[in-house]
Amino acid sequence: MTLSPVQEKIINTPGNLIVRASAGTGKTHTMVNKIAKEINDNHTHKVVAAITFTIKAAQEIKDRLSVDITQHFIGTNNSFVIEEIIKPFMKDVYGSDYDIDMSTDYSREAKVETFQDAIDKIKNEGVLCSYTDNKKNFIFELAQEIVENSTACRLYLQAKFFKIYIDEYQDCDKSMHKLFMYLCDTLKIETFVIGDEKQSIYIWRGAYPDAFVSIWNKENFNKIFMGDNYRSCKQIQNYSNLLYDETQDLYSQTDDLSNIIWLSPTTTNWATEVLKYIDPNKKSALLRFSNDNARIGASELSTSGVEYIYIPQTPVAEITTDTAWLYSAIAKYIILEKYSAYDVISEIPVEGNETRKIVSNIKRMLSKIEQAIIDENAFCLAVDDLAVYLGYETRTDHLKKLYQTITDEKFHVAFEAEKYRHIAITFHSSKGLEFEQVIIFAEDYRLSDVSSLCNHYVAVTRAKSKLIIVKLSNHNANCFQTNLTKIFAKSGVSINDVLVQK
Amino acid sequence: MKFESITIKNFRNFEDIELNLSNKNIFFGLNDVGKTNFLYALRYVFDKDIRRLNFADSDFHNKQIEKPIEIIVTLDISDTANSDCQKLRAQLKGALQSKHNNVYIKLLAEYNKSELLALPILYWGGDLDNLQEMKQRGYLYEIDYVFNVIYIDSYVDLYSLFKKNVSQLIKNENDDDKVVLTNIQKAVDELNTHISSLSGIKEFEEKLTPEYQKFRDEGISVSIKSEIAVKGLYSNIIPYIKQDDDENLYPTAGEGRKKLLAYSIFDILADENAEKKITLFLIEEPENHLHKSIQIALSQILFTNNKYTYLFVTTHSPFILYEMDDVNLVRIYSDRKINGISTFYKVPENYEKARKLLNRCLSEAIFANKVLLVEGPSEHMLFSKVLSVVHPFYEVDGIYILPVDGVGFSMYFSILNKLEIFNVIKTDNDLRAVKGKGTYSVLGFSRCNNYIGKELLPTEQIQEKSVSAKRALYNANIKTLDKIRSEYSIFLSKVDLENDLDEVMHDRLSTLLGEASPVDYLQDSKHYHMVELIEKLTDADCRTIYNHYNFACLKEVAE
Repeated sequence: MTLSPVQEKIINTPGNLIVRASAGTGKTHTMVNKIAKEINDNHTHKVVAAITFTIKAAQEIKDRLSVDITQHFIGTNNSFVIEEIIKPFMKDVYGSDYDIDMSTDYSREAKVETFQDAIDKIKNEGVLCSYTDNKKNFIFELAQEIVENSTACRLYLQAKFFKIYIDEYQDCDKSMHKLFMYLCDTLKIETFVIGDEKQSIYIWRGAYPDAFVSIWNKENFNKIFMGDNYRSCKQIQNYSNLLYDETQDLYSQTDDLSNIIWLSPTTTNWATEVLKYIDPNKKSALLRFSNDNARIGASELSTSGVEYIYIPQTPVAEITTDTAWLYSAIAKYIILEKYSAYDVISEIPVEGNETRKIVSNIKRMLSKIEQAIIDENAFCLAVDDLAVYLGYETRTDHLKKLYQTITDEKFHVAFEAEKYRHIAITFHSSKGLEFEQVIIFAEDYRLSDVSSLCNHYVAVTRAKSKLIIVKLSNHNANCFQTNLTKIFAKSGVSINDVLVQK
Repeated sequence: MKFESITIKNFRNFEDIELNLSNKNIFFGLNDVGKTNFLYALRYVFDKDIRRLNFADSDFHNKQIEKPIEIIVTLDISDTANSDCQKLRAQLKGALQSKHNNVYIKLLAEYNKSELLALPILYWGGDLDNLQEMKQRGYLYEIDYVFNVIYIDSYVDLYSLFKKNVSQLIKNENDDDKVVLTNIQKAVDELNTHISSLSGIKEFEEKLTPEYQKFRDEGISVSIKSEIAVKGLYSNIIPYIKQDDDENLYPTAGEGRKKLLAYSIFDILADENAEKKITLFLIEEPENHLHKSIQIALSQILFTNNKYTYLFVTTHSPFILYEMDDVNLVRIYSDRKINGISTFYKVPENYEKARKLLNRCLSEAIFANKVLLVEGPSEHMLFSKVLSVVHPFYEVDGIYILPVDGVGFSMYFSILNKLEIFNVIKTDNDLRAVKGKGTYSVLGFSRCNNYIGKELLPTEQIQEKSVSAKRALYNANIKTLDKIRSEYSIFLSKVDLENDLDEVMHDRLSTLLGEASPVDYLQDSKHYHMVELIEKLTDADCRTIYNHYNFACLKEVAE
């Protein structure tokens, strides 16, 4: 894939840089190319840190980088501060009591109220946990304390990293923003942030899109806006650009309005109506706010003639400890035909001890797990054996979740969602994905606050060539219509200028 | 970053040795005391290619395999702005805390009787009692991402060095190169077409193939090609030398030239990694094959080029040390066990310009076992003559006579003492006029006190400056002076060289030189007249001098 002029400019702009990248503009592609170039140009011992919000995104960057990345850090924001700040330097600030092995557990059972409670939990149990208040971030608060109070930590970070790249910056909460700006402004580590405040769908758990905007106003950052959407057709771009003041100027009228269909059906005939405009040979997705609605929607669409597969949230996906990768790898090993022991091995996190990777042993243990599937107790014991062999710990409730995921076939589709042409999912799980055709429901977005607007923006921009908006007759859907009309009016545009009402 | 020290336990020659280090270190000592093994100790810690050889039982001191081999290197990293310190920090991570200013790198190897070898395990950190085990990736340890070792053998082979590194040294990556490389390939193909069209080649191929098939009938044919076509372009290029005023190419045949070219290649290799890694140069006896003048040139490069920031050299050649400065001199010697002793040497500021003068004698002296420090060239000539008669192999036995003129005794004497090299001082009983008072201070006595570090001799000024006054002063303190002779090996002249010699053999001198006053004659044109005397001294004369109280310093150093 070649680079557009603005992407070239981003790649060649040195120093601190913030990039606002609308949906579909080739964010990951640009960032990967920038990292590769800057690693190549660097002649010192220093390395980069590429920080993402999800393990999947980190893996994607690793897969796409063709340069040698063994010494570089590529991982999630939590693993960055845990591996590079907390584990190595907590003892430097809090004393040798904290020179211990640490694991993470963000589950509900492990949550605590105060900073001190969380510190005690590390000392007593070796567990890094989170606050009951999910808008506050213990891990980053602790990292901030350590960086500010440990000279060794500061010197280490400065000696190690020549640049930090942070993806999806709009999802950062206040504590993360504070730490990243400390690294940039006080430790003078060059920083690259990329994001889109329009896609802030995690405000409910503390994400703080203002942080992103505040960097846009900083003097020591270069700023570049990336607005050319390579995913969606012109009409869908128009629609999404009109949602925000910052992008409304990008609107330009189109003659053909057939890419966005506005339906006002009844609760009983909506599926039949929708299918009239869906091309069954192209990929499509029904995006809903709740899992229940996604499941029901799939079944109604299927009854009406096109099979939609509901992709559920799996029980193993709820596991958030650092053993999570193992449960999901075992599930894939058992459920997916082409997922072998070698794929399991490739998922072992880099921090693990190399000597524990004897292939034949892992193969033997995996086949033992597979054979034990008929007996839950034997199965759990076999999983535990492998976990211990790899240096991890299992928990009873997690083992239960794994067993449930494997034995209940309805979860299996979640492991190969890309296999199905038509799917129904929540829009939270659609982030980073794209579909030819997208079906959304007006009632999922009242458009009365930032969060709802962002949700709508993300859902709309998943569509490449067709967006179907289903507006039933209910209060939330009416709110949507009223607010959308108002928003468009700010640009002097009416709803009918950008879509076709049927 | 600064090298502080190293301890080696139970490794080869070394039972237990601790040495201070600096960033530039010179190791010297007799053959077979373990200089090479000392470099091996460093290489086991820093060089992955040596470390992967593991240890055999013979690597354990006296094969004591019950005890582990332990090597600990201490580095000072308190300079946080220094990029080499940063390279270390970036890998040490939490092993280094805010209060730490040193990094300890420890290698530990315990013998495994079933495997018949010992695997090295590496640890590091800022707290010697709580070091972290280094993570391993294949046979690479964390330390291998920080250090790059360039080991230069005394018999470095230019051509194999060049071939081994040619792909790193020569990179043809420009777009234009692609065209040229295609052209070269075409030319090579053409070359081979020409070669195979030669009648001699054809004939040979036709003979060879059936000969081969007699041994083994496999349906093959043998063809003769240029090596470049088979092994690629780089197999066939080697450095040649072209003189500026001569169009012909000459193979780099001379060993000296080859060696200098090899050093140039090592330079380039070090540059490749300079910003990513800390390069340590371990150089073994660089003097081999090199003429004195080239050794001195090499000395200049090693000690003044900042590329060689971290340098560990073993040598037997004083010429390699002519330019030394800011250097740690390490003498390895054997007494009850193999021991080492070191001292840091920096050319004093006032000698910056006379560095060679100072270093020349010092370089010679530190290779000696015993050193006789004398005032100047007259003493040097006379004593060399006497010793060569009485003790014809004195130089072979490591006795060196060092004239200190212009530099003074204390500079040499303090370095030799720190290196525990036995030295004898022979100095004059000087007096110096005190301005405006008409009295004389006892300079020779003060000098002795100074070297001893105690006021053993009286320092009251005296009223007269004559030969007899000096003798009187000497005789008045003869008991103390004799004690100083035996305890400190400092030999004060009664007066000076010529007068003391005159006392030994006045008549004989008069006869030999044909002068009534040989002292006046000798002191008149010192150098010239001493040469004359030495030519005339017989073996018997030399023995007389050797056995006399006035020249007991000779016996002291020779026996």
